[in-house]
Amino acid sequence: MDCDIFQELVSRMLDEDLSAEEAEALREHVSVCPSCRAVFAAFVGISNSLKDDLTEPPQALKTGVMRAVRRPARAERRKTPLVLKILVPAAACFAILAVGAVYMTYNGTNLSLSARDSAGSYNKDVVLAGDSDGEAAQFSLYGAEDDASDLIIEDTDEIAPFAEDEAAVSMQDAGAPAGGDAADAGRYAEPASAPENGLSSYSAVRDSASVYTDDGAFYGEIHNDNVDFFLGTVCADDGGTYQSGDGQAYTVDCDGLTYELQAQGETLWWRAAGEETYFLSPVPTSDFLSLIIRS
Amino acid sequence: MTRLEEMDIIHRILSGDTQLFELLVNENQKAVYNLALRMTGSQQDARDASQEAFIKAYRSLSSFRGDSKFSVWLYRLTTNACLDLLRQRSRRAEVSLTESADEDDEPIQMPVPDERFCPETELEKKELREAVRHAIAKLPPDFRQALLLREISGLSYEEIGLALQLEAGTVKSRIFRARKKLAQLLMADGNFSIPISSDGKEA
Repeated sequence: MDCDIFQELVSRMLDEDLSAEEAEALREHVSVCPSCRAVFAAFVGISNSLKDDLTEPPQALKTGVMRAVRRPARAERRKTPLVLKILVPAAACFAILAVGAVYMTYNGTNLSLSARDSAGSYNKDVVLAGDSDGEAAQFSLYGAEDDASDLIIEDTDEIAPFAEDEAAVSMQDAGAPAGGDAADAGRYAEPASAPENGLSSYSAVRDSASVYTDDGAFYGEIHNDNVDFFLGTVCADDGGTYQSGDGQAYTVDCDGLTYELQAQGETLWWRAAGEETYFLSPVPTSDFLSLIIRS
Repeated sequence: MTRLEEMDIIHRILSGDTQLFELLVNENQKAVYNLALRMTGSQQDARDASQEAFIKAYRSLSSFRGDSKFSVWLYRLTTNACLDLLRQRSRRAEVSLTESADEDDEPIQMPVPDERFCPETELEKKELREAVRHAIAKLPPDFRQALLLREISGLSYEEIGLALQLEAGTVKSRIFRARKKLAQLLMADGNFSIPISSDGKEA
């Protein structure tokens, strides 16, 4: 064998891949061949050097990984917000949307919209069918009015101003609620950030309840199973004024029913405990209802 | 951690005890990070690639079949993440090494054992480590990958073959060529220059 073969044996020897005969042959050769002896020393030196050169990983590595483990798989959601504008000609429908609450469920293909009027009863069931992959698409409104209206979905961040007799619902694509599994049940409207603060529960008096933040600030009121919150500065019963929270979460007991509430900027989300869909409170000062769900 | 312990932890994670993944991170992060560090040559890249490997492992944990050790699968994810990163960076000057290059079949000539490969003092060891680090960055990523999986991750030829979907023989050959090239690069390096005679005799 010539030196090339022996050098290869040296490499394999380092990896404990030699048979007894090969090892013996190598030992004999190396004892008489300075060149191969040198190669042996070099390979060993390189190997030891590599093995010796281990550093501790930075702490940020583990924290970064575990943060991603704890967070639900949101990264896969689309980045472009989906804005859905419903242009509804009828004033009646407009009133419902403006005064009542709108909730929607989206299972990746179909978007279902339901509206309640101020009496709290489900009034107009609106089912939208179509596909929404971020492109402009048209949805048809079924069952809302006598005549179906077209919904335009556009990729835009802005909410355009609406005409007087228009009700507009702008939606951005949303992901699963924190802790939920986006894969099976579908997707739900939810606030952008998971609640960080603790939840506080307060008992109801008759059929209404006052809601307070964790530090005792008055937040608003909940009536029966309808929400009648005032966002921003509110007046308490005793005449004081309080600021609404941002990103805070609360649970409220109202007449034996428990509700979970989360505030996100101008928007308050609430749902009956145990249910999967959130409601949005109306914006009291506007003529239209805007729902912004950030992805 | 034995393979049985590993599989038990994985089953518990898949059953919902997701925080247990931290045990797998603790067990493997040093090996993963160092592999990534030598593959990419950059601490920042190593951290990014390592994180990505772990997160990918977590998200596709249900597809881990357990026919090899978890670490083997994880190292593969690590080197893949590193290769992706390297592809995004501009290619640095790399020496060429091919699978069956005829010119690489020449034995390297080293007339005498070079003491610099057998460092005694801490300073000498440090110098050799740095020289090796620089040299390894010049190897093509595929050869670097095979060598590091052997030396740093401690995988056998078969395990490396499984991880990279190569024959064990190819793995063996790549590692040998990588070592040869490293030795040549180190000799060509100013610190390691030594006259080389073409007839194999001592200079």
